[in-house]
Amino acid sequence: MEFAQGTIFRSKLLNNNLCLIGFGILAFITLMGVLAPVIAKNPYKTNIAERLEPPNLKHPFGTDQLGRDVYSRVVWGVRTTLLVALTISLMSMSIGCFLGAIAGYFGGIVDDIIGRVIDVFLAIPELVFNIALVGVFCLAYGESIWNVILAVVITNWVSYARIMRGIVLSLKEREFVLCEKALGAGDLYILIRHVMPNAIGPMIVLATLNMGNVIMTIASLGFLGLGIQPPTPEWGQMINAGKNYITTAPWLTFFPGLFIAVSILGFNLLGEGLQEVMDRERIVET
Amino acid sequence: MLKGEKLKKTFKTGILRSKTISVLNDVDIEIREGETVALIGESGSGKTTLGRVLLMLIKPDSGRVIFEGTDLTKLKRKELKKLRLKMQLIPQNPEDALNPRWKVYDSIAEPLKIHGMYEHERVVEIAKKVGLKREQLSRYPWQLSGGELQRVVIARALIVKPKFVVCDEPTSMLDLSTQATIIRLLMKLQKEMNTSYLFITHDFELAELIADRILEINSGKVKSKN
Amino acid sequence: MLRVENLKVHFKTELGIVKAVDRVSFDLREGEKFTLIGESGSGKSVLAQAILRLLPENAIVAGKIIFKNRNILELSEREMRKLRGKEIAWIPQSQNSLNPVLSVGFQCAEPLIEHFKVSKRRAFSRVFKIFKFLGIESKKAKNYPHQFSGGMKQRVLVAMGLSAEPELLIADEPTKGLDANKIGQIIKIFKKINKTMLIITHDLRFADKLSDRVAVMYCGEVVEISPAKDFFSSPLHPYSKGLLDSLPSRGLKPIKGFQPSMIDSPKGCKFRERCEHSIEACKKTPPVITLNDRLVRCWLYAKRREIEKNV
Repeated sequence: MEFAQGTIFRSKLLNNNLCLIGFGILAFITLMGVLAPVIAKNPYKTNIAERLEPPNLKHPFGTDQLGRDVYSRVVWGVRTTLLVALTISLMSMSIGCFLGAIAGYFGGIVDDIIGRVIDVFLAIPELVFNIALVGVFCLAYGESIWNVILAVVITNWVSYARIMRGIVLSLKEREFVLCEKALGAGDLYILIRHVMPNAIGPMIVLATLNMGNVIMTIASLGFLGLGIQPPTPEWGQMINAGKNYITTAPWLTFFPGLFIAVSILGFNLLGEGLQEVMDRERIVET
Repeated sequence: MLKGEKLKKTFKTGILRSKTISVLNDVDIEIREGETVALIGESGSGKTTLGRVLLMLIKPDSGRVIFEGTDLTKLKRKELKKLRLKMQLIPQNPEDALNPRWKVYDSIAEPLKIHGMYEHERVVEIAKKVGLKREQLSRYPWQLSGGELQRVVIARALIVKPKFVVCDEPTSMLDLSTQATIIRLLMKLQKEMNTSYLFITHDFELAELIADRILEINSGKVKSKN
Repeated sequence: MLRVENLKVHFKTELGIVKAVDRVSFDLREGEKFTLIGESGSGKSVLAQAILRLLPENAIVAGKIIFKNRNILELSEREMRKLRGKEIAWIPQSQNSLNPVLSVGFQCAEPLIEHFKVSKRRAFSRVFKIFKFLGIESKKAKNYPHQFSGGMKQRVLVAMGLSAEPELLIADEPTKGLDANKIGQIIKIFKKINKTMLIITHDLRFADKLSDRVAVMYCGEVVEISPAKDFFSSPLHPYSKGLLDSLPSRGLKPIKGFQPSMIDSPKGCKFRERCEHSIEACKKTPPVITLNDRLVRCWLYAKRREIEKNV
């Protein structure tokens, strides 16, 4: 019993193969993004003389219709995708956790209002909603990367709010919350210091699993031409540009597609691994 | 010192919240300074609800709770918060009563911090009084046994030197030999601090042994029992 | 009828080996109510699970459990399935063991129909009979678990255990979470059941009113086995005495100290550090001493010569 909780948790994480594989994949991809200036060339440089070249030593992933190096574009695309996805996740997690926690903790009319809003958002298919929102934002504010971010955040916070509400609902029945009230602690204090920290574990799992979805949404919007606009390298938009050449130059679609798949796989493996570790922890507790 | 007058509380249940269950039905109760009153009753008899109503953790539908001359039901939030220093709760399940992410020391110190009167010495002093070892203060709740956890809960409740404590079946989740230790501890601390206890239990023998008076709650009514 | 010989159940965990049950031997006689008393962490529930072979996979089991001349630990999983329910039945600890979406009558009849190929009609008539016997109105058989109170759910669990007419009934903490008068009803019901029963409990008053013989477990070991009458009037083992003295009606005297951790429990007598009578010999593993029909694992009852030989 002399171990700290953290040590045991860490050793369990390190013993979980899912976690390790997922983490490995993500570390590799992130490293590629970070080292993009070193390991890749300028993703914007066109060269008509070398257009649509199949993979070769000079261009490991080939070149596109403007003669740009696909490898460089894919590697720089890591930065775009991960940064945008991370921003979206953090924003929707904060909004979702906050609203979900308030709804669950205070109940009553607050819960009714937030709950109905959640229901409405859940009723609309996510991608359709995203497309509509991006369209509206474009018309209203012109083209910007924030259109995509905001549109996805608006649909994405709901899942966090829903789960958070459930967790808080069960946490607030715990006796330690009752004791805090008896000690004279205020509601906001209890919510922030006692309830929310105990909900953070499942939220992190959810966020990790959700990253995969977000990446997929970004790519889908890009593919539909609504996402991050060219010439910024982004995987979905690269697939869109390459789809006309799919029979003659399949490398244009294959490599961005591969990166989308692998990064989603990475997040899903890590998320499932984390969930497994936490579930086992809960079994040990009871 | 503490008086409950004509307390009423009903809960609505059922899918449509259409059924009304009357938990407290015109309950009158008085607890005098320094005495132990045992409240016995079956599960579902409303004994826990009564304890919580007296602490104003649940608002009664009607009736008054008078603590040292002030009617708690008419107080504002801030005024009630100050009075919380004088009234405390020791709940049933010690494993559930502490925030699992907080170290024991922080949990015990918390009431002082909430009311802005934190002093390290007071934490150490109360920990010693309830029989916690120094090294246990830096542990997490899951590293302690049920009996040790209940000591922590008692320390947290008594660190503010309350005048009135509701002990809601504080030993029903504990082992027999631990139960004796914890009850003895509660009795010892009561003498030292001159606290009044409302001791909720379903164990008549235990009530007989420790209480000055025994009250029985049955279908929302409280009667005194000898 | 059931004989447990030198049973050990150890668990491998991240923190070390937990000796949940260690060197336990006892025998159950036909028709008696045998109560296993112990506090949480004494290994009493693990022992019961071992008898039904319901232990989790990381358990290491050694020793013998002889039931009707067969060693349960050597039976195949298939033979074991036949044994469970039909010959040895289990009344689980939690009242949440009932399936909330099936009527209680069906839940009691189902094992008869599925496992023992009894016709539906006969199965239900048998269930009604048991319900009547336990004081559950037969019209309530159609009801669902949430319509029952805690005490009634416990009765339904008992009925489930009885439905296949087993020879041995194991009840795990049947009084957990019940009020005094509900416990009284359970006692009445258990007394009416004319079967060999192994009852696991931490509730001394319950054990007192019910059992023919009791065994006390401490830290995975059985420290005393006595007829109930003798046990409650004159316990042998110091731990048994301490336990009885901590009852409110006997003065609420606590046992000093804490139960040691199951992982690095002290060598020799495990109660030694909390015991008022501990002597030098207690540092060695105490012998099991037979006094008439009682057994006690304590040096205090050993002959002087034996103690001297060991010190």
